[in-house]
Amino acid sequence: MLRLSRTRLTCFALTLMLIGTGCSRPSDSASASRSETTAVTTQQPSLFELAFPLTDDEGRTRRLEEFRGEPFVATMVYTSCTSVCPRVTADLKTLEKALPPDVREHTRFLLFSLDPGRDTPAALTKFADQHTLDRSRWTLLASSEDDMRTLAAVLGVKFRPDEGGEIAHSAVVVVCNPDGTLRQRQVGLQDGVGPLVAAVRDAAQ
Amino acid sequence: MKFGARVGRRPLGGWGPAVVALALCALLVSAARAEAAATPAPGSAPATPATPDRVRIEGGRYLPLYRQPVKGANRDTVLRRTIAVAVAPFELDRRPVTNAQYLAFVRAHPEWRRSSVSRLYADASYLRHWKADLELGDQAPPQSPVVHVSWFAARAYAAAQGGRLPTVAEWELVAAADETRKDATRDPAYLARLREWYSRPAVRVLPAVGTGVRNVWGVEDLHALVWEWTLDFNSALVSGESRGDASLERSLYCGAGASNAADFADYAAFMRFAYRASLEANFTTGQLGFRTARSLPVAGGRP
Repeated sequence: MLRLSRTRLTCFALTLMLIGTGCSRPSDSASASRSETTAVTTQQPSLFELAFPLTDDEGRTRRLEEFRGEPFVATMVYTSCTSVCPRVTADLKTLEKALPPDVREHTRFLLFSLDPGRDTPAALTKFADQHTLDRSRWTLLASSEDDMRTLAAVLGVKFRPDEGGEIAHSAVVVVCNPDGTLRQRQVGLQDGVGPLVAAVRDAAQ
Repeated sequence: MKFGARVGRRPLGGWGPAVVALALCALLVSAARAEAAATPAPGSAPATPATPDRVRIEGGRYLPLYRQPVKGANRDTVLRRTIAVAVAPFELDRRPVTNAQYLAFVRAHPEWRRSSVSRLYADASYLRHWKADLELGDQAPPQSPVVHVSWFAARAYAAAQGGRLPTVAEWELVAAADETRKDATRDPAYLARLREWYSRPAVRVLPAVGTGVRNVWGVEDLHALVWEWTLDFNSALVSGESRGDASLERSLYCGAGASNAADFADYAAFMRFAYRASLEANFTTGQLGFRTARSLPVAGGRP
């Protein structure tokens, strides 16, 4: 049954909980109370388990698996975005520049579309050109609507299309190891690229 | 951490308001643990029909809790209003998906068995109340709603049935109804009932589906049995992670700002909103299940 004792449902209680729990997520708390062991693979899941087809800015069909072997930085954008996407993209370019040349050489930058309906290869190309992205390292990728939802869920990107064609979304940047496992995940732009630079360097080790 | 790996806690930096939603969820779990004393499940249930039992919903308008910036307004003035979401006709399962139904699914789809599911798609408590991969056991009566399922799992189940998960707007539209009215959310007595349902103690073994309220649409168990996944559960943005307009949902959570929510009186809807905001797609818990929906052939069909 749903369990919310009314008396606890006050902001005051929330504040106390915040202090008391160190703000654990639901499953964190749940797992703390678990005594039984579930047989689990201790192996970290990899982004390369996502096997669906993607279309790049040149209209070619691509698979994530193709990016195995080198660290990569990924985020989700939509090309008609005028607010956060250009800023995230600019941040990633700053990150790119900040990498030591030998690391930069082997780092890939993946931009996944949140707007498969409108982000045609031509739109992706235009976005890449506008932002002068070095296509030897940067790849822009769109998928089906359904697969976009999967990708957003895996990356933890929240999004909500609004009536005016904008897509409000969280600015999530991930840094992945060459095997597709997660090295670092950053939400929001406020922390700058420093932690991401460090993560890419680590991932490239 | 994403990708299903629960390596450590997410750092709090930059998460201020989001933290409130997470804390809220921690509160739910904590309350559950405190109250998880075995409360006997209400009586036995009628058998679930073997054939898919779906209800046609004529559609309507759902008024979200969040407000959207008024088009053309100066961003700094944060002029907002709630915008009703039009919901096209669709079909919705009468009842939540049961353990028995989900068992049939994992029989046919081995990749969704407990021992083989990828951590990308479900955390370590996936189906933990089952006895084994293909055995329900005492904690999971066949006619009780399946829980400990992730969003990915729920979506895969729905797709296997030729359906999908309902959107938040669809789910909320139907959930606004009581036994006699399509929108009972203006009635303080109904809202009080919702709060009463939501404050019931947790039970160790969930009762069968179909033992709760059947609303005017003919849909059952929307409120008092389990929380339910929705297709776009991850559409609730919290401050600091949205686009330039970082205050997008700030006003919804706590304190004085809470009165900026569209309809604060409907506290249950507010709780659901915050609960969804706290979820991640591979999470599974003992109180979170789902039901499936289907689009109807209508112009401008939904995803």
